[in-house]
Amino acid sequence: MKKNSKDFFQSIAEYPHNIGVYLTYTLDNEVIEKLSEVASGTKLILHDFKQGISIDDNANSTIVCFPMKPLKPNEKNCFHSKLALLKSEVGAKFIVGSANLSVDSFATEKEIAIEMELEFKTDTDVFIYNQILNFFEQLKSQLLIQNSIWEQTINKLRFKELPIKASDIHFIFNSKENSIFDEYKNYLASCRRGQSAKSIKVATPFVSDDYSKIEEVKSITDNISIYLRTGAKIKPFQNHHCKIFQPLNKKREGFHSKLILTEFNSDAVLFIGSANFTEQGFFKTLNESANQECGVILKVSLQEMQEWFAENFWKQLSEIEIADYKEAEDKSLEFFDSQNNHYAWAEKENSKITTYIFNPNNLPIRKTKDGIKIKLQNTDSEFLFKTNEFEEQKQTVNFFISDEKISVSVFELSEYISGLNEKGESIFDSFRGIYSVNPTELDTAINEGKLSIKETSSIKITEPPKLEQYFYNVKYLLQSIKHKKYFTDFNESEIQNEINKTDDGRTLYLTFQLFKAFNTKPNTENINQQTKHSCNSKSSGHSS
Amino acid sequence: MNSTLNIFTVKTVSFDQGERDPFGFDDFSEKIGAEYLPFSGSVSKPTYYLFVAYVNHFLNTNKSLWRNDKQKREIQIRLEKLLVYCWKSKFSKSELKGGLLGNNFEQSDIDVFTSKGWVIQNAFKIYTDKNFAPETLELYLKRVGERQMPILRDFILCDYKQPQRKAEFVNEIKKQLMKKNSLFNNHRLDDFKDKFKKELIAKIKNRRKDEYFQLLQPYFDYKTFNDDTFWSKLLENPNPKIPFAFLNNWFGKFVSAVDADINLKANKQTFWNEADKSFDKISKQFLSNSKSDVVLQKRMKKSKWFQFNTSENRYSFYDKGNLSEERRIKNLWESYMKRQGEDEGTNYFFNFRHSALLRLIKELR
Repeated sequence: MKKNSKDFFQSIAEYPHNIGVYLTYTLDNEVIEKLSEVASGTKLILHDFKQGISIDDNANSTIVCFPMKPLKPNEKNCFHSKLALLKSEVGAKFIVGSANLSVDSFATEKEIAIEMELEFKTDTDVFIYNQILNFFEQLKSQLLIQNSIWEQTINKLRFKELPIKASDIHFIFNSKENSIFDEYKNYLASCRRGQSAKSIKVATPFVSDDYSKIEEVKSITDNISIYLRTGAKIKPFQNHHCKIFQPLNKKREGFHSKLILTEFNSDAVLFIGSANFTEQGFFKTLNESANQECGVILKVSLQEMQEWFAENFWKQLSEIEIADYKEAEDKSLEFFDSQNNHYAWAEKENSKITTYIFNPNNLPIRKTKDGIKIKLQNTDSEFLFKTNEFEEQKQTVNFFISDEKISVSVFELSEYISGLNEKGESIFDSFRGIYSVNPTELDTAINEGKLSIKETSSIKITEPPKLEQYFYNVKYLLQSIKHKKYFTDFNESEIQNEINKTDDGRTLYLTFQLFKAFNTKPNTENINQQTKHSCNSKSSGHSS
Repeated sequence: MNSTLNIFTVKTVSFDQGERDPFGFDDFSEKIGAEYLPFSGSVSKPTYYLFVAYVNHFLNTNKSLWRNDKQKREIQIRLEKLLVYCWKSKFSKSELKGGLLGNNFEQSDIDVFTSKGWVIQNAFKIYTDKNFAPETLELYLKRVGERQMPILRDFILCDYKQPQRKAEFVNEIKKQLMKKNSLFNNHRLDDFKDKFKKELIAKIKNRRKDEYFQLLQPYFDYKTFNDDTFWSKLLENPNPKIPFAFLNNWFGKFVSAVDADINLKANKQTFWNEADKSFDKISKQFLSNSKSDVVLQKRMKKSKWFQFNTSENRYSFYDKGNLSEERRIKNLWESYMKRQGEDEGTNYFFNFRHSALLRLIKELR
């Protein structure tokens, strides 16, 4: 890898976007605060349900957090994916890697990530983007509390179904039937058929006690090197004749990166993502109670990761060192640091606030410090309770869990949704007021005098005829549509809304022009059908 | 490898002090500071106040340049970039003395033709209309602002595509804008300073009409300015009607007492006696403020790091059964302890907003 170090937040700040979806295992208020400073869009954060925090400022309803569970939750697994997907009007950017939205990730741990900008000019971009959206679809069933917002967000993000053309960069995730390892093998089978690998390098901060499928990795190559933290368990790898490496100096000490690099003669295949090389992370399927993980597999040059695995950062344990090896007693080397901290969040929908409290230790909940205990309603989920008794006018809900005062900012779900709809994505976004293609809106704008243009020295008033203005507006709308290659479900529904809004002859003109524009565009059959149908019905209405 | 794809190691980022504050004192102090020293919390350069008002005026009188909020923001950010671009072409980093919003870049990296690549924390986010709309604007418009409007208009409408043409155009614009009294010419307020200062003082006075303001006002008149008395009269003033010294004193003593608990010091009771005495001296009205969720108590409980053990009557670190987490918290605690006596050679725990106020006053001198 080239010497390349980057501020995660700068990477987000430099990409203006409307919607941001963040997946993380753990999260902290400090990181969310920082994210609010740099991220321009709405922020939807999905996190592991045991690792939640009480959010004290949700930045004007631009943040909503949803706790997530693995498909088959047990004491040892979690929602472990780490991803940021930023969607702008013209493209998207994603960052996938090992960093959680926690202070530790950015202040002390050594993380690695991959960022990619998708401009949707090629089918490769759309292919990867749709793989991410497929992952999001899968996550629907893993919301701790079911609600429609996740689905609405996906609809806002998803393009119309497109023919899938595979590329050599894959976004992958484990599913009911497939583990991350299965996805990795599938990638090699499809992109590297017949090629023999020289070696595999695995970097993992956490390990399992034993591995049932490690022999299968050997079917790729038996030259396996495992890069571990100092003091990590090495026994599980000893019997499988793997080379073991540990940090030589501070540069790699305590690393948190998760990498699998398969080297071929002239290049290599790299997995970079959230999955540790453990049974829960790498080898199991969701049906086998795996963590929920994700990552990217791609082709890289042999030089790309050379620096990360460089000899001056690692030492290979000799046979004597392995024989005398002592595992550290430090529990930080064990992945599962089960979280027993309580937290809460509050959702407002139709002016009703529901407060959810994750209360694993079953502590008393009171409105005031020494007040009467509040009776909580059970939910489907163990340790999770809810109540409507904290309804307040203000945007925060305050109460006590045992002696600790909890103050949570209310997620205004309807405001979040309207923010989601207001922000970008609409093909009509730049066509409001006197630039509107909606006759009623245009007429109102003209009547309100919005056509007046005040200049610095004297006031000039220009008022073009309404029709002329309307034709110009449609012309510019069509120009902007012309350059757009991909359309979402949301675009489809807004076009339908727009052409059904009025029976004005001008709307017929708009509908006809839209029909012409979409008639030649690939993958927009639905929009084409709608406009065609609407043209027919409107024109028959007008002639009668 | 694809040019839009990049593998990187994640850079270390420092977080606000809040992370190192287990009791909520930072939050409490920030909010009480805002009540006493409005504006100074977010002020980086007073020039931004005027600039924001000027650009908003420009937008209101050039409505044909934008159709919606998005385009309006685009213009705002491009003009802010242009402003910083001009400043950076004339002043060195040390002359600008930091405080520039929205950028971390060298002048040559600022692309003024787009709003992209600008940190969102910019002047228009911080200095909104409701914050301050200075009357100074009128004076500025008369002197130079009106004449600059067509130049800015050309700048926004410029559609050169060729890099060479763009560079020439920016140079020309810069030359036209960087004239005497222009905001683009100087990051300080030049001739508008006095009028601006008067307005700012009036705003602050309007907020606090008590004796604290009487103490504060003379410092705006730089003739009598003295760095030492600035701190001692404002932040360290032993007048019980002014909260800062008493709060600082207690924060420090309380933290030392908690430390004595954690380390099982033999004389820990002495530390607690000192802390409790300091707590009792704080006037009750300052123990909570309506704008903060933190209410100060003799035994603060809000903490991610500690537990208060009622039976032993002492604080101890939470035993989370995780050695590395314990190490991390101990390190954080040590750095938290260091806040006493390490800040610019004084012994206060929190400077409320006085450092920012000092900077504001110095910028206005």
